[in-house]
Amino acid sequence: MTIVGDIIIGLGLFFIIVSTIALLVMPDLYTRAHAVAKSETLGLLLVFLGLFLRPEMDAASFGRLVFVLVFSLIANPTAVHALVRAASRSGALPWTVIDQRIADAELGSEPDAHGEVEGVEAEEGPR
Amino acid sequence: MSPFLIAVLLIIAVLIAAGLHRVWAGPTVFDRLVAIALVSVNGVIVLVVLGFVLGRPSLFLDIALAYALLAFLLPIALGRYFEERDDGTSRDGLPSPSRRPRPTGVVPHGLLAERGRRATEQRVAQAQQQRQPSYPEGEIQSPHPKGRTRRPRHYREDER
Amino acid sequence: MIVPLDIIIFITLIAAAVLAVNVSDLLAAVALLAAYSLFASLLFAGVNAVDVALVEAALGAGLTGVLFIGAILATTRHSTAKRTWRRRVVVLPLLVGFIGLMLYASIGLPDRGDPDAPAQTGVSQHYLANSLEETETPNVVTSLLADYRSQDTLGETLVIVTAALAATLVLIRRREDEPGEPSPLDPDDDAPPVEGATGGGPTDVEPDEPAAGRDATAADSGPTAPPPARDPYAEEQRRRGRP
Repeated sequence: MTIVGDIIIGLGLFFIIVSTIALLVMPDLYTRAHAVAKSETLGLLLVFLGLFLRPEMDAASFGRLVFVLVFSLIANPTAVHALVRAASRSGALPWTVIDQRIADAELGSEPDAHGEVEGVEAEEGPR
Repeated sequence: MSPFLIAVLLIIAVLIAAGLHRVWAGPTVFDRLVAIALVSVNGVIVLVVLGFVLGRPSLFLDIALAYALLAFLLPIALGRYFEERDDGTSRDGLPSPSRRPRPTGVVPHGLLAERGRRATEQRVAQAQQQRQPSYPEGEIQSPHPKGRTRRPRHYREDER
Repeated sequence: MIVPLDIIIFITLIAAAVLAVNVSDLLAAVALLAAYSLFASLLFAGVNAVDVALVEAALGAGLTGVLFIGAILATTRHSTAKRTWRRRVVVLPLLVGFIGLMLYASIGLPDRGDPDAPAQTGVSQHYLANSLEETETPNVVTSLLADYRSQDTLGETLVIVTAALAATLVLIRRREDEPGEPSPLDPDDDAPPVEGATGGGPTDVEPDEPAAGRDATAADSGPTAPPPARDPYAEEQRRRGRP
C-alpha cells in the first residue's frame, strides 16, 4: 500500500515540478496563472491522495486531510482567478503578436513616415 | 522518517525557492502575486508532508488548514484592491486601461503559423482596400513603380 | 529535525526578506511578507514547535497581510524610500556590529535543557513548588504571567493597545479624502439641512452601496470644483438650536 501511495505522490510531485517550471518559463501572465491554478492543484490533489495510503495515517488526521484537500481544490483556482480577473480589468494584455503591416494598414500611416514597409506593394511609388 | 518523503520535502523546498525568481523578475505586480500564490500552495504541501515525516500528522494538518484558509484570503483582498469603480476609473484615479482602445494590428497567433500568415495577408489586403479611395471611372494611373497603367476591372468587356 | 530542509527554507526566508524590502510596489511587498511568515512557520514546524507555527502562519499570512492592504488602500501604493550611499555607509557597520554583538553574547548562554542553568536552579523552583498555595491558580503558566510577572503583562498590554490605536488611526481614513470631499468623520447627511450653509453642494454623499468595488469610495468621483469648507461642529450646534 505504501508503494502505491509513493507512486501517486511521485506523480503529484511531477506535476508540481512542471507547474513551477511553467511559472518561470512561460511568456505571459495568463499562461503563468494557468500553470499555478490548474496543474499545481492537480499535483496537490495527487500528493494528498498518496498520503492517504501511508501508515502514519490515523483517524484524527483522516478527516482533516479530507478537509484540507477539498478546501485547497476549491480555493486555489478561485484565488488565482481573482488575481487574473483583477489583472484583466487593470488592462494586462495577453501575449500577442503585432504585425506591423496590419497596424499600418489599419491606422493609415504614411509610408514615408517610417521608411520602407516590406510587403506592402502598392504603397510605394514615385512621390 | 521515510527517506522518500524527505526527498519529496527537499524537492518542494527547492521549488519554493525557484518560485521566488518570478516574484523578483515578474514585470507586472500580478506576476508577483501569482508567484506568491504558487509559493503558498507549495508551503501547504510542505506542512502536510512534514507532519507525516515527523509522525504527528493531525497537528501539522491543523497548521496547514489554518494557513490555507488565510492564504486564500490574501489574493481575494488584492483582487478587490484593483477593482475599478463603476464609472470606468481605476482605483489609482486614472482612466481604467480596460476601456482604452486596444492596439491595432493584433494577429491570431497559434500553432498553425501558415494559417496565421494567410490570415495576415487577407487582413492586410482588406485594410488596404478599405483605405483606398474609390477608383475614378476611366483609366487609373497605377502607383506601381514599374508604371503600368491598368483599367479598372469592371470596365473590362470580357468580364461584364 | 531535518537539517537540509531547514537550510533551504532559511535561505528562502532571507531571500524573501531582501526582496520585500527592495520591491517598489507595496502590494508585492505585502505578499512577500506573507510568504516570509510562511517560511518562518515552516522553520518552527520543522523543530516540532507546533503552536508557534500555527500562530505565526495565522497572524503573519492572514491578519497582517489584510491589515497592510487596508493601510495601502488608505495611503499609497508605491514606496518612496530613499536609498543613498551615505545612508548605507552609516547603517551597514552598525548592523554588522550589532549582529556580531548578539552572536558573541549568545555564545555564553547555557545549553538548552541544562539542569544546572540559572533559569532552572533559581526562582523557578520556588514558583513551581509554591504556586498553588500562593496564587490559588491551578495553572502555573497563568500564575506566572498574571501574578509573579504581572508587570511584564501590563507592558505587553500597553504595547498592544498602542498598536491597535495606531492601526485604527491609519485605517480609518480613505485615500480619496482630498480637501473638500466629505470624510467618514463628518456628520451624517440625513440631518435636516441648515439654513446659512451652502445647501446641496458637497453634501450629496452617496450611501455605501453593497456592490463590489465600491467599498472604499465615499463620493462620486470625477473632477469637480472644490466646494467651500464645512465646519461640522458649527453645523451641529446650529442643528441643535444653539446660536
